[in-house]
Amino acid sequence: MGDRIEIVGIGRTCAKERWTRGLVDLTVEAAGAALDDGGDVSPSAVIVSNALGGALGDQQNLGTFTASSIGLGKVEAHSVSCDEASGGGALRLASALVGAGMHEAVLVVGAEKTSDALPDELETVRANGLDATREAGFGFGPAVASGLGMQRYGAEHGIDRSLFYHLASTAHLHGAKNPFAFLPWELSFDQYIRSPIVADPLTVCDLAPNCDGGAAVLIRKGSGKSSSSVHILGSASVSVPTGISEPITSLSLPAAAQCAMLALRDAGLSIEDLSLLDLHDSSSFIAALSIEAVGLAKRGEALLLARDGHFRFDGPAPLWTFGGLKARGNAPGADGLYQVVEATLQLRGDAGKGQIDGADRALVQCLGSFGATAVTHVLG
Amino acid sequence: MKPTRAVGVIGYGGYIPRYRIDAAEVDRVWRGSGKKEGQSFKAVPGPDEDTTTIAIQAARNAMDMASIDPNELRAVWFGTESKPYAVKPTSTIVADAIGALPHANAADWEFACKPGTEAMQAAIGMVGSDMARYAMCGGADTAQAKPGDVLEYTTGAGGAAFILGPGQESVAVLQASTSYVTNTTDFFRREGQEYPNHGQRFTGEPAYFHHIRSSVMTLMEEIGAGPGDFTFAVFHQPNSQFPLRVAAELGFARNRVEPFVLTNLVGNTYSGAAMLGFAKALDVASPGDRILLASYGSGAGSDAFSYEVTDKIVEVRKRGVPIERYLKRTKSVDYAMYARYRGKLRRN
Amino acid sequence: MHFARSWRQQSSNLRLVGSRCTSCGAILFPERIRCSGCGSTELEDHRLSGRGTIFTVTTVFEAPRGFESQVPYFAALVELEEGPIICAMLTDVDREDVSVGKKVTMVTRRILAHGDDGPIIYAYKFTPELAG
Repeated sequence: MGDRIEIVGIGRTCAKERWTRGLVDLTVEAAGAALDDGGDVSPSAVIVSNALGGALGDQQNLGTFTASSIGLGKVEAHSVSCDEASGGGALRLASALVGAGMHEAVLVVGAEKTSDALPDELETVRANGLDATREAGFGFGPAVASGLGMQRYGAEHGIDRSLFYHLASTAHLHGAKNPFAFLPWELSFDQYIRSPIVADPLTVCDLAPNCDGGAAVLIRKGSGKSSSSVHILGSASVSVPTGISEPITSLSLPAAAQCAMLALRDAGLSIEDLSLLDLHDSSSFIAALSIEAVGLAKRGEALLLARDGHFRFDGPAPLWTFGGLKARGNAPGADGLYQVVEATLQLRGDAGKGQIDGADRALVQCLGSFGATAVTHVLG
Repeated sequence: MKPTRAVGVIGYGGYIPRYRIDAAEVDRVWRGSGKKEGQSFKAVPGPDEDTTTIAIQAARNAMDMASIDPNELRAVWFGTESKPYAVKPTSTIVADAIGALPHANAADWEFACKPGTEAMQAAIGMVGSDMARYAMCGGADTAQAKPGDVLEYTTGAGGAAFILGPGQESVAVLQASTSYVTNTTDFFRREGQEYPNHGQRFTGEPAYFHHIRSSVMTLMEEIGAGPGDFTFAVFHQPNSQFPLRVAAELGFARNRVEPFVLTNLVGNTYSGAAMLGFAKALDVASPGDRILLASYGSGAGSDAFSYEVTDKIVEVRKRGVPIERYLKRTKSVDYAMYARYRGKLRRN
Repeated sequence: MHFARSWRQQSSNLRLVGSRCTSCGAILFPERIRCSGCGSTELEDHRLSGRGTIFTVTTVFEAPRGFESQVPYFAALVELEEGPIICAMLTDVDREDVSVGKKVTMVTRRILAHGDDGPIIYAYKFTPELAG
């Protein structure tokens, strides 16, 4: 990436069930916070990411409606949707607008309003992020796909399902320090093991909870080497052939692996240079494969490293320092931007109780369509 | 009635769902357990089954046995009184599933429990007149009964399909067929109603017995045969007593009839009942055997057929699925699961 | 209610019709209009046998809307003998009889009915072969 993109403002809403807020309210709340944070930087374009709103009967053309509701006047506005990778995708495109010199500053907002839908209705719409005809149409949703994956992962690597606890418990350990998290408490082994089965052996505790939320980032072309500001050091996005059978049969996420490698190369860094990471943990299965894809663990060893505290805030590779999707909550269209906002807080030294000492490099990656879409950003 | 050209069955297949409920379990729920357990069972369709899926599997089994190009079928006709779509043919779905479309006639037939044999007569006419080389007919039902009604002790689910073709290719060649039909309202289901009504004892003598006796006696007269000329006789079987009684009245020996009365194993499969019995008879028949088939449909009528089994049966039926396999494949369910599978639990 | 959507899928749903690429020989399921392997548009219909083995399977206790009447159901990846792996439910089988590597064959079942007054979707499921 030629000139660095600077992150000049960030905003996020609580990731909870926001009964008094609608979809547009969430974008406005997050965007407003980012604009306030950005001081006098005024965006001339808005890109809004959202995964499910249209399918859930909510507002469409969210970019324009968000811009209108914030009172930005005459701006360029778009909506971006690529399942749970939408937030990352929106930031990539916004960066391209800035990088191409088309705009000085762009506001990127992600939001999802899941609590207006009943759980089975939401699962049906989320399932259409997989192959709508051949997977969703046959009763296969993200939870079913992850259940099949866990089944295979356990069988192939000779791993007991109870080991998956350590992924969820790591996320919860960190989420407990995040006042904006949906489930800000530590997860006991007993809670995990007694959790109801959704798709054998996957339980409720192996799935990130759906929540409402919004996150926003205000970017502009880097103004120089200000040590206090956070920049996008590298980024990449990769899509590979779709189908849940690929991750389940190969027990790997080729898009995630390739994408992380390209983003690190773009930043001129290696994985050892990172102070913290945030990877896609929509389910225990996807979390384990993500950890292995980016090179944090060898094949089949993600859970063992998690058990040994490798990904804790005080471990060698802190992961999900604000709780990840598992504890902070999964607001699909906002996921990728929550990651960027939270990493920026870490790099600014504003992460509160969850602060990683001396954090100076972070990698965040979000995935869509069961890993077929990957977007990675390296910040510093 | 017989066609000018020799016609017969060139392949057949049946299907029975896997689940069974004991009639004693029905009795336990509605009358406080007066019945003995294990006396009679009825087949219950699974939550993903209906008349269409039953007909499709029977049709596929028949096609496997016949081993013909589905594009040579000129008709796919199924009879049922439990159509999943009130309007829109089940037969087009079945025909599509076996690859017989689009150059085929497809239609659903309705005449209470005998539309499948009506379709069989029509298929015989079509093949016998040389309009078609092959035609498929069949009957299938997920038989309905009002909860607690006497019918609920016996209503089952299943079906069978037969492919009619030239006599020289047949495993059983038709000698003749007759129909005996009157305007007799002994059992019916009004449009929009979920369950049928029946006239209790009126469904017996003036209905079932009179019509079957009449059709069979007419047929035997027409071909100059008596009960002793038939190796096996298959009758419509709403329960296990009626077919044995009508057989006795007509002079058929009990042991030539009873093996093909499946009511105690699968219940009354309505449009599938006589046809499944006929398939079971073909499964065990030897070349040269003569088989009588007599259906009954309320409203009311009976179709009777006389078939003679050929040498081909021995080899051809190896390609099919014996009915016995479905009779052996069972999983017992209680009334609660039966009620769930049959959609009898209101959820809205 | 989607009339045309299910209509378009009937040949694959009812007869497992896929495509065979006449350029590279790839067997694809469902039907394609362009080979995902080599990009050729020279494709011919190819009906799959419906025989396969269970690659992996899970029991589903919480279903997307429309599938609740079948819960608990078995969701499996089935590896067809021609190569493609497809997502399908298993039917007429108990948990203890479901295992990876088991041979299964295609049957047609009700997959989904759109409410009480919408179209019924009939499509493939898989079941163990009938015992002789």
